[in-house]
Amino acid sequence: MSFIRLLNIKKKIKPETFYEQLAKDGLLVDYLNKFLSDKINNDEDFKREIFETLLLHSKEPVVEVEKYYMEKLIASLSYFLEYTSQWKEQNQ
Amino acid sequence: MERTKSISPEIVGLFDKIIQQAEEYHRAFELLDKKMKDFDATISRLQEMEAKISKDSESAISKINTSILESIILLKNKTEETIKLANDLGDITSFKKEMERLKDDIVSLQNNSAKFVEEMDKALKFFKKKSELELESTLIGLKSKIEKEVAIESQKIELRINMRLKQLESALVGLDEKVKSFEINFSSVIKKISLDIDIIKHGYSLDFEQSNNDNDKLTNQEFSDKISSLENMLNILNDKIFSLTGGKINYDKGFASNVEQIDKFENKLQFLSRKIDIIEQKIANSQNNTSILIASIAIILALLAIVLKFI
Repeated sequence: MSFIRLLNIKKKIKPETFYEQLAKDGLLVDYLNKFLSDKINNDEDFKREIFETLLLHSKEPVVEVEKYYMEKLIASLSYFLEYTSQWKEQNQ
Repeated sequence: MERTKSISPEIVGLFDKIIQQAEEYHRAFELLDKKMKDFDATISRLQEMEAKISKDSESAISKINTSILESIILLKNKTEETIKLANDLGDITSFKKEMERLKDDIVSLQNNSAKFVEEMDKALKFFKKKSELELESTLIGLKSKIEKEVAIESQKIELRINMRLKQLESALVGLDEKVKSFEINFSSVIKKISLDIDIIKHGYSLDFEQSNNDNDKLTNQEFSDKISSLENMLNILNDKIFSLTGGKINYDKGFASNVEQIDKFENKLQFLSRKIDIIEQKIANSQNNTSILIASIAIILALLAIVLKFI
């Protein structure tokens, strides 16, 4: 929740970017697939920034965004489950 | 708060649910952290308590061990003492039983002792009477036997003494005869010697006279000693003879029953017989001495006559 607040603050203090405009128009995904597929597959920070832009500025549901954050959620939950597995085993 | 449109509402709802669960987990974890901190604090406090308790328990255990060892030693000693006392008690019990048995025996002996004493008194009286009778009969027999023996021995001694007296009397008669014949011979010899002395009196010097005087003194002393001893012996003989009054031996009848007195009396008789033998020997010796004495007296008289003639 605090991360989203920071993005909103950033949005307020910065001018709208090209990727944000593409996201609002619903063209950013196609753009990425056509021109920045290698970069987005190899640069994790760029990928995180692009998906944050899609999350904040897209006006329609985006399957890739849902998939990306679901994967993040799954990873986080997996870590959580793995982290708490020893207590579960102890409780069992 | 503005909701994102890039994610479908179902997924957003899932995220919200997950966020809600995450918040619950967060609160749970915070509570867990707090509990963990409390638990850690409790653990540390418990550890401190454990250390303190372990320390106290170690000291207490050591004290308890020492006290247990001391108690064990004390218990062992007490057990040994108890065993000893138990043994002593057993001994005392057996001793008590033995004492009771002895007490019963003593009581029975006391009961029997009166009867025994009466029987013993009776037996002693009977024995005393019997022993007195036996002793009296034995004394009477011994008395009669001793009187017989004494009478026989006294008769024998009387006979021996009478025989010795007769022998002495005959010896004295012979000696008197010898003295008389010697006097007769001596007077004739004196006459002859006086004649010879007259013949040879001029041949002797004054030194011879002096030596003769010394010899005379010595021989006179010797003769006087011998005569006195002879007289003493004769006196002793006379006393012994007179002590046997009437040729019978006096003895105390009160001693006749005593065997020791009889032995003494026998010894005395033997002593007297030995004395008589000694006197007989001395008398025989005195006969020789008498002849020597007579010869010596003759020589002395001759010398005196020689001296008187010189004077």
